[in-house]
Amino acid sequence: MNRKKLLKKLQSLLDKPDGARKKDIKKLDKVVKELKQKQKRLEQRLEDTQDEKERSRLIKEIEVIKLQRRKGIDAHRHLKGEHIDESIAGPD
Amino acid sequence: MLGRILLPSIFVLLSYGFWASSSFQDISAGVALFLFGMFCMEQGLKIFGGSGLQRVLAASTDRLWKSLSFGIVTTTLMQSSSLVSVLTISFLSAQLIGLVQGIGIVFGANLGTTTGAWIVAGFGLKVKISAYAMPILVFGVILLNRTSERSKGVGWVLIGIGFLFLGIHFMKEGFASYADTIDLTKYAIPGLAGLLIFTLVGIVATVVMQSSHATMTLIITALAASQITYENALALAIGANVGTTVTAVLGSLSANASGKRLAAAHLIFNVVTGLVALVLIHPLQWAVNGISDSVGIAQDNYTLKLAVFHTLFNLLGVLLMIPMIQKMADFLEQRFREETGDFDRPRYLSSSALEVPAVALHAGIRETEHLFRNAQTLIAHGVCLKRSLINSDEDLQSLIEPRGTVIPIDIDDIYSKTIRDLYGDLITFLSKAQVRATPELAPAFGNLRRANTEAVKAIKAVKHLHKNLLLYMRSDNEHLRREYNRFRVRTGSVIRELQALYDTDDASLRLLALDQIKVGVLYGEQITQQNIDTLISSGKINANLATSLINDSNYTKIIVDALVDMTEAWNKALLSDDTLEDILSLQPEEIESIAGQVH
Repeated sequence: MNRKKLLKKLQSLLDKPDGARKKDIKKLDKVVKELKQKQKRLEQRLEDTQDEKERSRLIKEIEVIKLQRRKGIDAHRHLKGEHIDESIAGPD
Repeated sequence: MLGRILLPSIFVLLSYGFWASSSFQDISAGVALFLFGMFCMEQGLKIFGGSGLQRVLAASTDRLWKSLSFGIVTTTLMQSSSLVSVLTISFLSAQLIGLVQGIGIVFGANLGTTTGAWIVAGFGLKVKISAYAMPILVFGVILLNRTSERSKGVGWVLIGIGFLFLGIHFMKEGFASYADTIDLTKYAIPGLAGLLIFTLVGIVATVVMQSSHATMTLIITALAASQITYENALALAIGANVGTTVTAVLGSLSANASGKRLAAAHLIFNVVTGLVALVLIHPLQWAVNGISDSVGIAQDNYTLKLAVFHTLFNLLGVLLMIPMIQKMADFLEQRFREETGDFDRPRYLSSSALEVPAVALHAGIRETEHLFRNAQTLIAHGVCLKRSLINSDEDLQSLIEPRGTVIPIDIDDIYSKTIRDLYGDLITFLSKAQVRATPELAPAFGNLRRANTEAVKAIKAVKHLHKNLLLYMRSDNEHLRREYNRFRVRTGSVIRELQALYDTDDASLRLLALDQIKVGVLYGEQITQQNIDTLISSGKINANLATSLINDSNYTKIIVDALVDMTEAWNKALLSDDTLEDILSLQPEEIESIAGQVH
């Protein structure tokens, strides 16, 4: 999906009525929060493992989650204006 | 043969009736409008009934009394026991409920359908019902023209109610004008003969009209116009109850074992209840009089007394059959078994499921999961990996060095036994369901079709890979052997990771976790590509082997990509709206970038 399509998807969410948009934001926040927890678990495993192959795999998985969370936070900002919920954003 | 004679005969008889009597025309038009009204109501309820019912069903059928209540309430609200039966068969086929719960719902539906007689006798005959019909029809047509599916659903229901009212009105008018010219009661038959003959007439009328509700309305309006006697009306009501099962039995002939079991339960219930009502007709009449007196129904209000009788004998049937429900379920499960031969057949699909898009989607999802299980086993064995090894914690990388152990299989034979028919039936089912689906649900059926197509694509690629894999995973050339074993490990790892994903409850997180698997898949491909290049440039494999390795590397890519794609499509079908997941998912270039990072 290119940037144009992504913006179109975001616009389709913005076009929804207020109630539905609030529901989307709630769902988005939940998913981003769960991704953050998953990232923490993977980071813990990364600390505990010495195996190079496993470390490389875990680093890539963490990268994926970081990127997904960043997109989630951007979408949240778009849907809610400029306000960013810090508890969701948190540190990378 | 019977159909070819029956239909023209009915047409001839009706034509003669229309020519001979205008009252007959009114009554027949009334029945036709009533049946059309029921059809419209069912159309509307199907639009939004399925998903709602599914939710209620999950919470309300874990106990027998809840199943009974569910049957009573839904049939009372929908005024259509046939729709509830169809839904129950589809829920049962999709294994949303067990047989005992299904039978409970059918018993409850039989009791719920008796409320129809109360509505017609208590309301339909007392007011000028046609005055309500016209405005309801107007509102219905306006809503039908709106774009929202929900509005259309409400529109169909209102039009249905309008036609039901109009039908009752015509039936009333027809019998009323008959009363001025002919006295049908002179054909009344007293005693046992009358009881049996009119029961048979009730059965035939219900089979012809395919609706006990329509027969009951006809009986009540005829009784109100004094065109039939009260005793004969009771027999007709018993006949209507038995006749309604013929429709269910005919409908179940093409159904799977679940549908046949439920139709048989329906038949047993109604035949036993009918027989009990015939044997106990006098005590029941006595009980009806007692109940009517106690609730203030006048001695000569035969229509309401008929409604009391209808409810009472169905209630008696339920009370008699409840203690036997488990035994009945055991017997029916023994009697009607799924055909188990060498060929795997669909377990969750049924033509009844197609009636309600939400139920069809559920059945399609379950059946796709069934096909996935078969496909993954075939793919695992195709690359000489046991499912038990994939499901274990054992490190698959340990398979790269040693010679592989052959799992002797005939891929074509297993494909034809476990995939081909299942796939064909699924694609046919999903195509039909997609055509009937609401715009909200239609993409989900498209995703399921894609999921199944990808599964078959993976199997076809395994077939191509298989021959060389058997040869080279045991090769003396350790470099070649290592690469072919890597193909096996890559395939096994993806199946293992997808298997772990299936245990995650949240479809959104599953869909996002696929990005991690995609990165791993791409990384594996890159490593394979580097290894092949090194082997060729260092001369460790000749040109022929290099060609085979490159081709088989492509087949492995097709297998793992298809495995990921089928899971992605299946997951998207589970989500009613995947816009958020699409926004969060990584783009191909992002996946490429992460896979290419060196750590």
